[in-house]
Amino acid sequence: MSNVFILADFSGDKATKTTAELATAGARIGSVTAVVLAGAGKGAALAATVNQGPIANVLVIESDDFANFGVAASADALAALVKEKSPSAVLIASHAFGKEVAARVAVLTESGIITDAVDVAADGTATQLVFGGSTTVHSKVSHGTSIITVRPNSVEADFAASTPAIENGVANISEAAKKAKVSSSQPPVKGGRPELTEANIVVSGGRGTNGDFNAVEKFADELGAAVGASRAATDAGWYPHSHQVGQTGKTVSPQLYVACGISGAIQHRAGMQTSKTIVVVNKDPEAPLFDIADFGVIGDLFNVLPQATQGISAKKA
Amino acid sequence: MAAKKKTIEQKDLAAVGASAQSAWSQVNDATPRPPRAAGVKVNDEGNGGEALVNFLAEKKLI
Repeated sequence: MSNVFILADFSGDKATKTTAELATAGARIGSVTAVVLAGAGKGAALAATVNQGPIANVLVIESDDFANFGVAASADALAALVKEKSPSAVLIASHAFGKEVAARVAVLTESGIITDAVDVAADGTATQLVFGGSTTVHSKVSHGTSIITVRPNSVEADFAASTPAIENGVANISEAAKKAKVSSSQPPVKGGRPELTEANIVVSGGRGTNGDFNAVEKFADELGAAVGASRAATDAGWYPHSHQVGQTGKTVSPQLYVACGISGAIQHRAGMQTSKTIVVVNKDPEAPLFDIADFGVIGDLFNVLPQATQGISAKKA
Repeated sequence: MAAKKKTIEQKDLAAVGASAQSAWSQVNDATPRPPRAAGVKVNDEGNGGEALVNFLAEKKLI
């Protein structure tokens, strides 16, 4: 059976559910080894959280260079491992960091790369949704190791607990990877809500909120959802740009997307139309977003959302 | 004033030093996705929120 590497994905000091998704996809191709890149002395604690999904082995590489030299050092260490163990595929989470690591690993190992895959088949064929989710593409790496970045939230993860064998490796980081040093870094201030691109449910507000995101946030919290915003809302300064969903913001693909007071410009749709279920609340019955909605409520979000919030909390009780 | 016109030069792959073998990944197929069909639309007559909750419950999303 062939061997597959996944680059374990962490948020703070815990493995994210994306790690389990990568493992699930990887296990279709072969036996999964999760590579954990950690600071010196921190590997064991991180590796212990990599216990969900079909993971056979965990390979811990410790070095403070990962924090000091960022992406280049991580890519170098991973590329060295790929050259040494020649897995048949390497799966990496498709966020900014993951894609940059993947691109560098692909160049260093002379391998083909496929980014933003939403599914991976047993023969390494990746499915991508391109042109804002309007076209499905199947493609395959034809040279070297298949380096594939997988979009968070697109593969249904097998969360079964696993007890992988943990092994320690040596960090092989070349001098070439140490040309740009990280002078300082600070974790983002995090609220209690899930990360936008990883969330199962996203509730977004747009121009129709008139700057008041209270109703949207309350509804989101009741659902345990992340909060998004349209460009109109972020440009008006009503919500931080980091929450913008759309072509120039984040692309989300949750199980449920609730758009409140968003008419649905094509740029916004490009960022959310691969969501499994779409619900739209808008006063304007002509809003284009209704055309792709599974369920639409023509009404004022300030009436509909509080009522829905109450309804959900009543159902939970 | 007439628009400027540049001559368009055509080169084949070999002339720029590339070939199909230079690609390290290959596309098997590309198909347009079927457009999403519009679903149910209800007017809020004081119970839009409840209708929304019922829809979510029906789809087992809550």
